[in-house]
Amino acid sequence: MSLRLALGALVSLLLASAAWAAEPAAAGTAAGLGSFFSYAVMAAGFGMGIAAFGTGIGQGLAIQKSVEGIARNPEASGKITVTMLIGLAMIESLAIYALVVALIILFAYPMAKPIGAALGLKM
Amino acid sequence: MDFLSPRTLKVGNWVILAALTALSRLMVGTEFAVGVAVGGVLAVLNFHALHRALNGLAARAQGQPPEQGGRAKAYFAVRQALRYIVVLAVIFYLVGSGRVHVLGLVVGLSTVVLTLMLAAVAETVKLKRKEAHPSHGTPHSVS
Repeated sequence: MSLRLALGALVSLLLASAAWAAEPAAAGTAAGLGSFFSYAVMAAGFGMGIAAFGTGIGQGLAIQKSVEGIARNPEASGKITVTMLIGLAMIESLAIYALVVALIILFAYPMAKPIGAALGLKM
Repeated sequence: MDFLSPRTLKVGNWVILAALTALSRLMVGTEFAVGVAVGGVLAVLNFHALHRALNGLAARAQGQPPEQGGRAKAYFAVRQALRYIVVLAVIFYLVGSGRVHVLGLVVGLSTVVLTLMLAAVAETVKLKRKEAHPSHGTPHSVS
């Protein structure tokens, strides 16, 4: 039930933002560029949020199971800690990639100039 | 040789970072290589900090009764938050200022992942060989 509610809220949020962003696009090129950048900001924000969500769940599960394992067998704590370190590093790198992509979208998007030129704006 | 020990992984990280930087310098250019080096140093230092935080957590939690585990958890949470903030600030500065090649930065940030994958493959190959050897295990390979 809560999952259905969350999905419904997400879909309505996306539809509302699309309608909100599509309206000024018809107004002119400057507004079109504005809507393009508003979509870019939304993509960066949602992307980073989803990545942080997944990373949080993944790291939480990894640490939970590792701590349970160490509590059951304290003698194996060395091996469990090393395995947890490897797992956490792998999971965390995904969040760092998402962060870099979000920052590229915000600050260093390579297609910003061509799109601005296509919309008839000097950038 | 244990490929998945922290010491081997740390040394392997620096070796692979040096190899990636040299390859980038030779095949792409100096700007890309600088991006790889900066991203790689950041990723490797982040890995070192993660290892230290986990060791600190284990050291503080050992021998403590379960009801006093809150201090160890708080220590780990603060260390994690500080690490994330530092990494975020450095990447934000690097990408925002445009001082380094962004694709090079991504390649450099992949150094640790590459090392872990290579170490896992090497460890698997070692285990397969050990299992196939008559003096160490079954006479035939498992797979």
